[in-house]
Amino acid sequence: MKYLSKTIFCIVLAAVLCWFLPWLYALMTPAPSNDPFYGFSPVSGEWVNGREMRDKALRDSLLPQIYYRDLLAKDRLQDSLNGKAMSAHSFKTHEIFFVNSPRDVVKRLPAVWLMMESMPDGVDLEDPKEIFRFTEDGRMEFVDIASNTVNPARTRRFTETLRARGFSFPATNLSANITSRKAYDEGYLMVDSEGKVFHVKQQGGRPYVAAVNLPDSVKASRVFIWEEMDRSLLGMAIDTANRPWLIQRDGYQAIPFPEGITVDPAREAIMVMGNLFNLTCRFTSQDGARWYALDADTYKLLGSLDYRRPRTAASEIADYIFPFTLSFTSSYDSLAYPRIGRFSAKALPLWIAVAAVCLIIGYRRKSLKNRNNHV
Amino acid sequence: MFKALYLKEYLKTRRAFAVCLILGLLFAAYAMLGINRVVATHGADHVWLIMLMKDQLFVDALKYFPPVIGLALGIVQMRPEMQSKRLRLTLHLPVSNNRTVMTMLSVGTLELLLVFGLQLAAVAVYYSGLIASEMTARVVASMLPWYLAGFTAYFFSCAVCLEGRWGRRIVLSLMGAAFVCMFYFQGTPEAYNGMLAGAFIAVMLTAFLSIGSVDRFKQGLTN
Repeated sequence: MKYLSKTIFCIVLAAVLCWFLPWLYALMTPAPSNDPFYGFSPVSGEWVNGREMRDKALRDSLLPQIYYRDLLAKDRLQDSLNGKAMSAHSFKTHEIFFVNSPRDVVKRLPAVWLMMESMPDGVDLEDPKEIFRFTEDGRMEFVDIASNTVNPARTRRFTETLRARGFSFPATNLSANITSRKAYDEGYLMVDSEGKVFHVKQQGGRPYVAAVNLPDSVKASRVFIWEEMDRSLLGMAIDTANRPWLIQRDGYQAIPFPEGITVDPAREAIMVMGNLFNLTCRFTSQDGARWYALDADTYKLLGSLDYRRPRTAASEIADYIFPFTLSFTSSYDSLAYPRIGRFSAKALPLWIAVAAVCLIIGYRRKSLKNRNNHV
Repeated sequence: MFKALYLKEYLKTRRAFAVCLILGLLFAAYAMLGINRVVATHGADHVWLIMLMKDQLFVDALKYFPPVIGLALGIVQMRPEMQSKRLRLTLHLPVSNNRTVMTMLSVGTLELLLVFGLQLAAVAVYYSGLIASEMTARVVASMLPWYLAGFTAYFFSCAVCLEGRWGRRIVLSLMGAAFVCMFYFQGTPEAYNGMLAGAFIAVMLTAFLSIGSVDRFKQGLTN
């Protein structure tokens, strides 16, 4: 039993050191987060790092879609560019800004979702009054949150409408922006159990359900609803091969991203900036970021850029100190579990030397103890 | 013999246990009063909305209660054993020392289990009448790591109290603090669900650290 106790002591001590020392090192050597921020210039057809350009006038003129307010303030905004009229209104109405972090994707969610009313009686949107869940017997069950009781009428209506539209229960992934502080509500984008995508919302207490036209061979795994100023795009779907698809509001057509572009929302942060000229997408991982610019009308690829984050000197030195690290959390998910990573063979000589020193000290102590016992 | 040991440990900890039990229920009542206040001022729907939209559970008052109680019970139970080295009397009983130590620890563990179980049950029963069962399960699952932190604090405080040397006591204390902190790294609800079973086994294994401390005490390794 005492050997078990010793073993547990050693294991816990080793685990604490494997976690604590790299954590302390990282705390003592903070690295600045200065990733460049690119925009795709509709003037030059090239990527421009707006943060690094010293000539602000040149920067504004190269990226009018981002700095149109500055251009307007200095009365330097042209009437048109590439055949498109430029005004504050046209820029505003074509604005899309969507961000998603893996922390929002890789997390445990309660199996109940809030349902907003897309057509409230008043002008402003209201906070949701009901939640819904998918029951094991294949129903979309609504519960009134004030009284915590099931609403059988709404449950029946939504369940029947979903079945009539070909929805296969239950939903495996859902996306909505639940807040009354937005311009309009589009309800949910849902992936059913067969990988088909549906748009589901509540209008005047009634269900609105529409299927998104994805090819039969494509199975969606995740969806993201946008609800942006530019209402032409409803959101984005990611298929099981990690290929992103844009979902058009009119006709619910799904348009694939150009061949070769993939994104893993569980490992990469997604940012999509849409404007009058292009749709700029940034997929950020731990190593860097991939940028893509798509034409705002045809969604053809205009340009791409791969940014690899340079390693800091502190990070290089850490490779010679720590053979691996133990951590329980990550900035790329919202879960806690032990994760061993950042293996480095470069640290082995140091730890072999430490082990040798410990062995020599232990041996000498033992010899001294034995000698004293004999005496 | 073991009945007598159970009685001895119970007599030693009964006052602390009663205080822990009352405090546990008072803290639970405080958390429920807080939720009641939100329901009274903003309506029950506000609780649902905040829980679902902001990942709040309204039980933050209970977050650090378990490790504090675990630490206190461990000190109250084991500190008297080390005063004037009274532990030697217990170790001279005609039973295995390891079984004696584990019996002592089992009393504290059962007392903590009762305090934590009643507190968790009170919160679960209160919430089950207010919110959907899925959300009640979410609250309970999110609170479980805090109770594991409570057991960790208890086992480490026992090991520290039974340890005879200050150097080892400091190392054990730091290890215990790090172990307890592990349960508070991630504040998102249900973040620890995936490691709860493993963490439970690991926490229960730390009970054996006290055996090591007692063994060193028997060898005369004291300051």
